[in-house]
Amino acid sequence: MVFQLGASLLDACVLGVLSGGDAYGYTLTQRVKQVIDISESTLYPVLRRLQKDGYLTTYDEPIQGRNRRYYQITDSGREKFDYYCKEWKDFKTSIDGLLERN
Amino acid sequence: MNKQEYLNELRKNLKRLPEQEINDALEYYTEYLEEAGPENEATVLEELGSPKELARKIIIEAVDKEFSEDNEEDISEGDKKEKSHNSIWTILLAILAIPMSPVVVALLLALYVLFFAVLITLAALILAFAITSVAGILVFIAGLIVLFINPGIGFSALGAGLIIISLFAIFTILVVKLTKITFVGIKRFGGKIVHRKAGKKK
Repeated sequence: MVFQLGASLLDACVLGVLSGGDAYGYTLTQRVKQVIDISESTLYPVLRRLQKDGYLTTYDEPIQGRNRRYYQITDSGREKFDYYCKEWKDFKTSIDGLLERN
Repeated sequence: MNKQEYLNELRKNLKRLPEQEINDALEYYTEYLEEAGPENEATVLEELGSPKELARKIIIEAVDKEFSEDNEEDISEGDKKEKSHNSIWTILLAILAIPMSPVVVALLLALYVLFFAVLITLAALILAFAITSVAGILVFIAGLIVLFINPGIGFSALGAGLIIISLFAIFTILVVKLTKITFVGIKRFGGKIVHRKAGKKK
């Protein structure tokens, strides 16, 4: 990907994936990775931050004798996600406006 | 390096973080590697980078948050002071927590020694000027007394005293400014080192 990705956009992407259903670290990373060129280690700090800010919670589910930690979006996470969506649309429109001049 | 070796190595490199943070990170990456499955293990490990690099990333991220909060300044003077103290501590802790080559350690040591040398020099300067100013005041008082006996000598003594006192005032201001610049400079420099380390493999 040519364009640099800011922290808020990454937050928005994670919240976006989670608003479509709970996910655990690995699938979450792979899902975002399909679209954006992030490294395997990018999401750990992002998830921690979002959790600390109360936008998502976690719960553990045992699978094959070990734990799988699922991430779930909270109500305030959904609010934040709606806000990001609106901001993104505004941003996208302005950028399109600049680019279409040529 | 297999999964378990990698995780052990990661734990070692994180050891200066709080226990809770270490466990969180270890849990996350243990699960992550298990989910990736044995067939993807090598690829994932490759992409995560060396345990040292991953540890650095985790530590930096923990510190970086405080930095960005620090920059959102529009707070009262008292808060500001406290904040900047916090960030000096954060920088120090971060520098200590980052796994570093001996060369960098040596450089940092040199930096701190330099810092204290500057501090001591400034203190000595202030002391010297303070003593000079006392002399200036004494000359001024002597001038006042002599004024009644011999006005010529009296006035020159008064003048000399005033010159010394004013020189002291000017130098004090200069030294105070110099001290401020030194502190700010060293704080920035410390911050830069941490950030450069962070930017290396992002």
